[in-house]
Amino acid sequence: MLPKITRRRVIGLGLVTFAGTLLPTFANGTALGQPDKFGLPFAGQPGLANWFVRQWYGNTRWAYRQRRAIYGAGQGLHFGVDFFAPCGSPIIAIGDGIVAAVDGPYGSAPHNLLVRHPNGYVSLYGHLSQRSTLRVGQQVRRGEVVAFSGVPNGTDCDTRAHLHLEIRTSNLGGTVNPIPLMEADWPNLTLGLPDEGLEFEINLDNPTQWQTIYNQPAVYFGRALLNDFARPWPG
Amino acid sequence: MPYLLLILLLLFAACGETTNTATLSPTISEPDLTSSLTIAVLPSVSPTKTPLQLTNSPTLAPTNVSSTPNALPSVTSPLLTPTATSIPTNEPTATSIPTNEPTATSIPTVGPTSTPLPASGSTANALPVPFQPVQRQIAPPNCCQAFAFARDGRLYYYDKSATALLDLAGGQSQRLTTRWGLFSPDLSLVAFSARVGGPTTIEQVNDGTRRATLQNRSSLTLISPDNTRLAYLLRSPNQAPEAPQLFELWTGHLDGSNLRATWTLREGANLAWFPDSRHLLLTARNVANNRFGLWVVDSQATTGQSATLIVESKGLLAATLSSDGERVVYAITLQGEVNSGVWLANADGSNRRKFDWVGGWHWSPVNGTELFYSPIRAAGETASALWSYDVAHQQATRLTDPVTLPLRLSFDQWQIAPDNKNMVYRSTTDNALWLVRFR
Repeated sequence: MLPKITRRRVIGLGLVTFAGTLLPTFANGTALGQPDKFGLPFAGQPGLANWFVRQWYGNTRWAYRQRRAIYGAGQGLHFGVDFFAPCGSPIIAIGDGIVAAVDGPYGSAPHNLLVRHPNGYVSLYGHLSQRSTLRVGQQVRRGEVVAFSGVPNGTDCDTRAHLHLEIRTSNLGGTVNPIPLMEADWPNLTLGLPDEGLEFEINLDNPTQWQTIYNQPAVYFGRALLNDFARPWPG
Repeated sequence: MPYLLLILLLLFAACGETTNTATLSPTISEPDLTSSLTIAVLPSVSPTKTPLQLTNSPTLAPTNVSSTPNALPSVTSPLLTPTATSIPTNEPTATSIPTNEPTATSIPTVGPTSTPLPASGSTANALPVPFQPVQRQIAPPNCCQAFAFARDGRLYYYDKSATALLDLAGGQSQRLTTRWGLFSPDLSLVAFSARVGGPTTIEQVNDGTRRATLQNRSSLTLISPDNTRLAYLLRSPNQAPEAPQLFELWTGHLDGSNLRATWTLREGANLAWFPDSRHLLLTARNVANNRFGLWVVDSQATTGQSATLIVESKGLLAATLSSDGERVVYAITLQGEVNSGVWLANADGSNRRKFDWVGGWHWSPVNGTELFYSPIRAAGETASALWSYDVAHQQATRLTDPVTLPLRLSFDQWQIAPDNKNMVYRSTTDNALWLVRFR
């Protein structure tokens, strides 16, 4: 769930902001003063013309539909967050780190980039439009442009252009939900639009399971499907 | 000296907390569930006690006061209107019309211009006090999946192992059926599938009488508003998963007779019946000519020639039809600053206009000229508000104040009640359902 924002914090924040912007503000979302969190992979504000979230991590309806065809190796879940953006949009590093791989065997064609961070996680930037010019071992800083967004098949920039962002475990053998690890105003990043990537598949036998963006399971590559429900909705 | 000022301000903030504790968080429940529907329970707020008033203070300036059609005093808050957002608000010009859209000529930007709600502390003269919206929690956290309103105003949802009904006036829930699927608007029929990839059954809710069985691989099946016809998009099997998905649009009678594939298309979505129970709206790419956009299909036509492209855009994402079937609102994405946005048009594609806000929307269930929306604002604003747009008069009205009654809308999970006075939303704060009375 979202960190609870108390009235005291809001009031104090309002006053201090009014007095001279001396303390952190809500500018980067609901997490106040958590410098160890990752940032967003795009600079500037979201918008329908530039970038927005189109698919959450986890038990999405789209992932359920493609649980075998696309996501079978990832236990049937969408094991990243999709940010739709025009092909060629600059992608920035979500945290300081060291380049771990360029176009390695980690999926998300046609190009990918992995950055290893001091907290042990590895960020993966997928469906890039071109091979990153960074070198393995090179240091990158949070906010630095590291790649450019593309589209899975490399050509269909009109309708499917997006960045697939993963947070992998240190051994690269799995992923975790990026939402709690990133400092962002998540409720606003979908721009209010509906989509099957933004809704979660319902297991009618356990309807509260994995129904929020904050409550999604970790994925371990190669293990059994997590969402092969006997009574799903939609079917 | 600056540090002294900072300390004094923080002390003042702490004092403000003790004077008012009930206006910020939707986690605060109202003890009287019934009376909270009609009685404003928010405590009065002194402009001098809470710094939240600082954001409202500009609204007290005479130059910001405007009038509503009812001549009630209203206040426009420049910090709270969607126009203050940094989300692109480029006004489209005649040249900004998507190149394949032949009919739009003039696209005046339509945006919020006034609010009916006086800010706290404003004077109301001798006129009646405007309605003060209130909200209360009506269901616990994690409850009530896929909630929606029936035509009679009852809220229905799936919870645990059954479909439940909640009467907003009485506050009690009751079991409707053990089935879950797509219901007819009057809740008399349900289309459901008992197993993955299996047939869809059309069943009467009251007695379980089976009306039809469709071999449609669990395709979501829509019952027409008059309960006489069915429609669904049948996804072709064995497709390359990353390829644009191929569908057939099937229509037929409620009893399963006369079922036939009306049209072959790719990337079908947003399927909806018109009120006449004959025509259908959907977004799709026509296989025959690869044109993508918003289509109207005559379900009783004998060939796919009946499919009419009313809006063409590669970036068309969401689209919804007004309750009278006269208008449509849709979103276009990633097509440049001019073309991308939320658009309003007549249901034949004419008279297109782009809103100067971005956000989620729902048409009024009973008034085809009223659109409700919740604009997404600049980063940093932690509350959101409900707005209404009167299509006939091209006027926007803010219905709730994001300062005194912040709504924590969980993405697109909100619905307008058929009485046009209430909305229910899932809160991002506690994942519970909240009822807002805004009129």
